[in-house]
Formats: sequence, C-alpha cells, structure tokens
Amino acid sequence: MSEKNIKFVFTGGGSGGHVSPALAVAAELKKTLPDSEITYIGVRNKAEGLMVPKAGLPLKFVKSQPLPQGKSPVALFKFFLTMFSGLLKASLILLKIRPAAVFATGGFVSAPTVFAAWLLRKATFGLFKTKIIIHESNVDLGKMNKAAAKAADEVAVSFSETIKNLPKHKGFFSGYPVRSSIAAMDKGDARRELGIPENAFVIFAFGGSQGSRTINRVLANSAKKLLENKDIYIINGAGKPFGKTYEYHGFNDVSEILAKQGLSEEEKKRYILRDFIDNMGLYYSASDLLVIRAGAGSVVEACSKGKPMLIIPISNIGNDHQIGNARFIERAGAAAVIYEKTDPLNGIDIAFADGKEFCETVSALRNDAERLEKMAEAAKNIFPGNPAEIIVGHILHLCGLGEKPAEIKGAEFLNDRVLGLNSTSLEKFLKKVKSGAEKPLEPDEIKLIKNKIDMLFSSPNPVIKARACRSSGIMGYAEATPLIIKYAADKNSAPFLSRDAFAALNDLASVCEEKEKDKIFGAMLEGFASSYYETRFSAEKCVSVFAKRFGLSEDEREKLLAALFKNMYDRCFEVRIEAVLAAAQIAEDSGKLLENFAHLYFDAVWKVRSALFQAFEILIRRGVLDKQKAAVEADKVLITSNGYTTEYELKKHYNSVVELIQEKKQ
Amino acid sequence: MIYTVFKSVFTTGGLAVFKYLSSRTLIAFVTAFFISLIIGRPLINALYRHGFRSFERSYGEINSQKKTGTPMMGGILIFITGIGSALLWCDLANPFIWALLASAVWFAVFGAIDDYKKIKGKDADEGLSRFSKYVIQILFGVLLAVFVLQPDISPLPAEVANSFQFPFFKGFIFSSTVLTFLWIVFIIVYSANAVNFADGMDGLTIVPSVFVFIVLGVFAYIIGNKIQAQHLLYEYIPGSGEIAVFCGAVVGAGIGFLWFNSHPAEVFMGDMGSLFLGGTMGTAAVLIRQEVVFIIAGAIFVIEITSTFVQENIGFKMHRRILYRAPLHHHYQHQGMAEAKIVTRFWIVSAIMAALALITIKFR
Repeated sequence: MSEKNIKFVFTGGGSGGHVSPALAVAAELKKTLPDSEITYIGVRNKAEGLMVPKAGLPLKFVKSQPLPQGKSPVALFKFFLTMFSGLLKASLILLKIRPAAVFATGGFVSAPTVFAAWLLRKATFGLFKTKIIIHESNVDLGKMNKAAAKAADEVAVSFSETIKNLPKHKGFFSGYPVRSSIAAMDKGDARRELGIPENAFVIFAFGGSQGSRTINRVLANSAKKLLENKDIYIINGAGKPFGKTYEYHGFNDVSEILAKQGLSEEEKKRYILRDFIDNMGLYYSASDLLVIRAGAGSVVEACSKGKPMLIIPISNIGNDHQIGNARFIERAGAAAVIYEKTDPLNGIDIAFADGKEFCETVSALRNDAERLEKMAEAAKNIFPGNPAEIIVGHILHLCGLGEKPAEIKGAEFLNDRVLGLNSTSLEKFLKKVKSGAEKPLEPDEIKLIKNKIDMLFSSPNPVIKARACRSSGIMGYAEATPLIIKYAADKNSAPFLSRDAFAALNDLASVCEEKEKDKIFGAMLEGFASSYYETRFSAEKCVSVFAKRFGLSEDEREKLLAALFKNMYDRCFEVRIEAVLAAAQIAEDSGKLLENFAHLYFDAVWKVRSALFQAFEILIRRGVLDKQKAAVEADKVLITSNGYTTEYELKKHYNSVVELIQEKKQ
Repeated sequence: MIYTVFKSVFTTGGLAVFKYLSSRTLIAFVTAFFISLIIGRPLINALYRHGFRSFERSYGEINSQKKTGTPMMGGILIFITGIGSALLWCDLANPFIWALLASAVWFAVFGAIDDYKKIKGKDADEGLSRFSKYVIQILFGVLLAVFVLQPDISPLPAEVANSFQFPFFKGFIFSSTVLTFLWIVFIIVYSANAVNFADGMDGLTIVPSVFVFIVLGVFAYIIGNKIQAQHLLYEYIPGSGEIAVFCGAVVGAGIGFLWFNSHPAEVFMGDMGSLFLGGTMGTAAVLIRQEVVFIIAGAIFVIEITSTFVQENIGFKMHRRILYRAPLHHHYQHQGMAEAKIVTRFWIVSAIMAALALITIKFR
C-alpha cells in the first residue's frame, strides 16, 4: 500500500456534535496526507447529510437506529433487523474500499461500520487489516461506544476521566477536535462588519444549529430589561429546524416573543436575530460574553476562542452530562452557570431558565471587567494541545505510518456525585445521605437536586412522580409540600402517587408551613376514603405526626376519629392496623374508642391484634385509659398467633464475638 | 450403567429382578436418597467454605433473625445425587433418557452460572438478565420440540408426537404440528420459570416438585407399558417407561435434599436447583405428552407464577399493588404468617393436586 493512495473511512453522526469532530479530524488528516482518500458513512436524513457534502467528502449511507428505550420485543426485533441490514451494507462498502483505518465518533450512526470492520477482521482471520479508532466526546461512554470500545484498537477521549472506564491501554486523551475553519478575527474589524460600536457589550447567544428553546426564550423574554442599558448588543442565533421531526422553530419563536415585548426601533437594532449562523468566527470575535449550551462541542469551541461563557446546560432525567460539562468549566473559572428548571406546581413542565437570574448574572458580569478578563484567560487554558492533531497522529501510528504521539493529560474532571441520577438512583442516594453513608449535601448540590426533583414531578409518568415525592420527603424539600398535598388529595392521582405523596407528607411534617394545615387535614380525610389500600393506610400514618405538629381542634378530632372508626372495618389488615394506632394517638374518650376496638379482638390477622396492644400502651401512657380497664380489655383479645420471629442462637453468639473484636462492646 | 451390566450378565435368576422397571425405579430412589445423606453434609460444608453463601453485606452484620449466610447453590446436591443415580439405573441407550439428561445438564449449568454471578456480585440483581434467561429456556424448548416432532429422530410415534391429550378425555383431541411446537416451547419456559419463582422458602419448592415427579413417574410407567396403556386407554409410547426410573432418581434426590433444606434450612437450592427441577420436570411431561396433567399436579407453581405476573405486569400498569406482595407465599408472609405454616399449607395443596392428577387416570 503506497502512502499516496491510502484510504480511510470516517463515520459518526446523528447530531452535529458527532459530525463536526469527525470533520475536524478529516481536515487535519488531509493536511498531513494530501493524497489520502476519505469516505464518510452516515445515516440518511441526519446532520451528516448537510455537513459532510459541505466539507467536500464523499458520503455513503447505511441503515441504523438508536437502541430502543423500552423493553418492547417488537421494537427490539426491529432494531436488530435495522442493525443487521446496516451491518451488511457497511461490510460491502468496507470490502470495496479496503480502508487502512476506520475513525468513528460514536452515536448509533457509527455502530454498523465499526462492527462490520471488526467482524470482517475476525471472519478473515486478520486478512482484512483495517484499524478501528473511536472518539468519545462526553465524559460518560455512550451505550454504543461502550460496546464499540471492545472492538476498537484505540479510543480517543475528550476528558481524561473517561480512560479508566475503557479496556486497558486502549484509551488516550485527545480533547475534542474543533473545526479550524472558524478563523479568529480582530475584535474591532468584526464589530465594524456587524455595525456594532467599539465600546459596546456584546452578548452572543447560540444554541447550536437547531437552536435552543431555553436560551432563545430566556433571552427574548429578558430583551427589554437587558437592552435598557444602551451599550448592550445581543446577537441571537435562534436556529431553525432541518430535520422533519424536530418541531421547534427557534427563529419564529423568538420573533413572536420579541414582537410582544414592545421594543423601540433603537432597541430592535441592538437585538441582532439570525436563524442560522454560517460565519461563526465573525460573531465569536465580536462578542464579549457567550450564552451557550454545554454540549462538548460548543463548550470546547468557546474555550478555544478564549471567551467568557454563561452556560445554560440541558437537564435530562438520568443524563446530566451537560451539567457535568458546565460545572467543569465553571470550576475552571471560565463560566457562570444557570440551571434549567421546571415549575410543576404552576403546570410549567417544559424546562426553562429563570429570567430574573439570567438578567442579574449578565449585569453582574458586565460590571466586572476584571472577572471577564480572568474568565477569558481561564477558558484558553482548559484544553491543552490540538485534539485533531493528536488523533491524526494516533491514526497514522496505528497504520504504521508514524511515531506514536506523546501522551498528554487533560484537566481533571471532578465527577459530581449528584449528577447522572435518575428517579430511582436519586432516591437511593438521598437515603444514603440521610443515613450518613454519604457526606451531607452542599448548598449547590441541594439546588441541583431540587431542580431535578421538580423535573421528576414534571414527568408525565406517575411512577416517576411518586419517586419524586419520596425523594422530597427524604431530603426535606419543604417547598414541594403544596404540590405533594395536591397529589395526595387528588382522587384521580395514580394509586402509587397518592400513596407516596402521603409517605412524603409524613416525612415533611416537621418542615412544612403552618398555612398548609387545613389542606393537609383535608387531604388526609380524602386519603382515608381512597380506593387504594396503600393510600388509605399511608394517610392514616400521617395523623399522629400532624396532630403533634399543628394540634387539633375538637371539630377536627371528631372528623378524623369518625373516619378512622370506619376504616377499622377495612378489608385490608394494614388499614385496620394504622387506623387503630392513629385513633389511639388522638382519642380523648377511651369508652368510645374501646367500643370501636371490640370487633377487632378476634381479627384473623394477628398483626391487627398486636396493634391493639400497642394502642392500649399508647392510651395508658397518654393517660386516656386507666390501667384496670386496660387489663380487662387486654384479657379479651385472642393471643394465639400464627407468626413468630425466628432467632438463630448461633448467629447471636457469633455477632457477640464480632462486636467484641470490633470493640463496639466493653 | 449397572442396568447394562445386569442386562448382559444376569439373564435369568434372582438378580434379573433388576431388569424390571418398577424395581429399578425404587432402587434409583433409594440410591439417590442415600447418596444425599452421605455426601450432603460434606458438600454443604464445602459450599460454605468456598463462599457460596446467601449474601451478607459485610463482615459482622449477620442478622441473627435472618437466613443470611446459609450455603447456596444446593442444587448441586440434587443434581449430583439425582443424575448419579439415574446414570446408574437407567437404560442409557434409551433416547428419552438422553433428552432428560440433556435438559438436566443444560438447566443445571445455566442455573449454576446464574448463582455464581449472584454470589460473586453479592446482589440478586447481578445474576443472568431476564432476557438471557428467556433465551436459554426458549432455545432448549425449541431443541426439545424438534426432537419430539422430527419423525427421523423422535422416539415418539408420529401420531402421538403432534397431538394434544387432555385428562378426562380418551384419545387425541386434535393434532397440529405448529401448535404442538409452540406448546412445547411454552411448557419448558413456563416450568423453568414457575419453579424458579416458587423458590423462596424452606422446602417450598422441593416438596411440590417431588409430588410432580411422582405423578409423572406413574404416568410414564403406564404409558410405557403396552398392556397397562391399552387397559387404561392411553396412547402407548414404547420406551417411555424408562422415564419412571429417572423420576424415581430425582424424587430420591429431592427427598434427600429436603433432609437438609427443611425449615430451618441448612442449604438453599438456588437457581441451579430450581432451574434444574423445572427444566427436567417440563421435559419429562413433554416426552410423555401429558403436559396438562403436569400443570394440574404442579398447581402450586401455576399459582406462584400467576401471582407474580399479576403483581408485576397487570398491577404495575395500573400503578397499584394487587396482592400485598408477590409471589403468593410472600403475600401470606406479609400478613405475619410464619414460614413453616405457609410451607406446610402449600404442601397440603400440592399433595391434593397431585392426588387429583393421579385420579385422572381412572376417570376417562
């Protein structure tokens, strides 16, 4: 194989974030080996269809699709079918080209090509010699990349942190390759070209090629307030949809909001709205502050330009890699971060950024030139080396055309323990914090978790909402109480949701506000009559804690007791138990209570009878029931039971020795 | 093996008694049981010594009221004694025995892998995924269905292989190769899973399994005997009587295991035991084409798997618990009933159902 006609296959895509690093590496490769041939393999109707031809590379299509979310066997079968067809086609293409190496940037798009190359190598016992190199742009390996990493010869990573999750000696740090086509310009020249005065403060907000709803809306809604300062100029790359499926049209959305804002002619001039930005270099150069998302691409690009950033990361349930990126840049001192949130109580379930917080952050930054300068300086230093150059060096080394490039280390990426949690793992984590197995939460962590819980509340799935309730209870998220009361009182709530809402209220009793009292008692009465048994007894469990917290009026006591007496006839034994215990906590008149207990003395479930004895104890301690009477009553209860606690004596002695060894015991 | 020896050496005389099915079934039972008694204790100790225990979170946290630390993977005891005895006393040239041995090895090996992963990961979620378990079960079901339905290799007469028989009705109800194929796969997946779900209390799985094997053994004996089969109006399947010997061996192994597994248990069978029992049970039922009898005799398993299905699939979609807990034995446990009581009651039910399954022999 002569060096002249050496061939490569590049693949990866789905979104621009996977295509642009591939193109950056391709450009660098062409620079080093001008006669090499690069073929790109992508999927139809995705970002690569637009971007690759623009870069002047031949593009071939295969079929592929992301891993289906649910467990539906039909979807899984379809997935396998698609992948199989993609694999076949990719194999044919590879056999025809016989490339020296395959470079993949991950995502589902690259899977067929990577696995085809690997299978061809295995099937021909090494006659087919193509090398496989993968680039991972995020801190956490994607599912496809995790599998692909096993097939690959080497894996380039954007964050040093990722290497430890890779097979040994496969990973190397490269950073995230950026397009070198974004030429830097003189700030003054750029402003002259855009018609912006020299001394203006220019905010450049850009949410990727498709635009970001959160950035667009917070910016457009704050326009009036921001533009009050005569030196502020806003450049907004609002974006427009390029696929058929993406329904958000950024440019139109922003235009509509701006029309409602009632900006003056002069102010309109200072809000420069664009649908699609081609000449990024010009706008970057002209700006003082970037407002961006925290996708690896945009962050690295902004850093390489040395600009201060205001980052609004995307929050997704179970996947916080953007928040992770944002906090990484923030810790390095190059960015301020505003987190997205939802407002489930007021029915705003689409994530947004708070306008007030946004304006305050922008003006604080504007008035602190020194800080801006430091941020710019910090931004430049975050990512050392030229990622594209490093990757090309490794590709050539693998193909036997060059020396292995020297190792470099990226900045350390602190892994946040509160990131990447989904509804289930969040609850587990909060329990650990509560039990002391994890360190207590820092204030910024509490803020992040509260945002996350709000987001879970905004989920349409009641099971996730229920977990949000439980998490709120565990961490003592008092601000969520009104919402939780709403779920508890609503007859149409899903059974699990109303049950967990009551469980959360139980936990929140000590922190919730006095003014919620009436609503909580109302919710409890609704809960007693719920059609779901777990809701009924969860509501009953709340009685004593709230009676202690708020105190009871005579009227409330009567109402609660009447409902509890009724529930002592419930067909579920747990409802009967909790009714007995709750009644014993609040009753003042022992005679009436004992009358209602009488029918439970021979209850079929011994746990109910055992609850009666607990109730007697509570009543005696509270001084409601005198001891003689209690003795008479206790004697009437059936004390035969079909349950007992096992006790392994041997294990008891074993434990006693272990305790002695561990010096817990004197 | 011993059978082969006796067949060639003792053609006449007192020792020829070993040629008879009934005597070999009993001897297989006794052999398995006594091997269990002999190797049980050392085997359990070895399991404990090598760390095959139900998970403890950390040193010094042994709950004196719970069963943590009990040796797991006791399925290996049932496997060694049951299969050992079967190898000794079965006719190893019989294709029915091949199928049963194949199912025993298949399910025991995958069960052992599952147990090993769980024990190593110290978490019940660390075992084989539900998906891979289904793949393993379905794969065996398909292989067995091909074995039964492919005329060139099938030991069953063609007209018996692809037709459905029901208790209380004589003869075939209807025949269909496609439906039989699906039915066989279903039975294998069902039986392996059902026994697996029932495994959760001391002695809860092993005793109903023993009853089911007794019933299957009786049926195999009848169906494999030309005179008996004709007399009782069953379709005669030549050679299937050998299955009775295998059942006898597993019953002996099961009772030998119960010796140690009875409450309070000194060993758990683990997935190795439950998959092995479920897999061979289903295979035996399929080989004599008495799947409905098997379902009746193993009614406890039906209840256990149905309650789990209702709770996890239907209940979860409705966002509510339908039973207090699932499988059903946990439902009663949640109400405070002691384990020994629940287990005994389940035994009673399974004994009644096994008797019912046997009664169907005469009522046709």
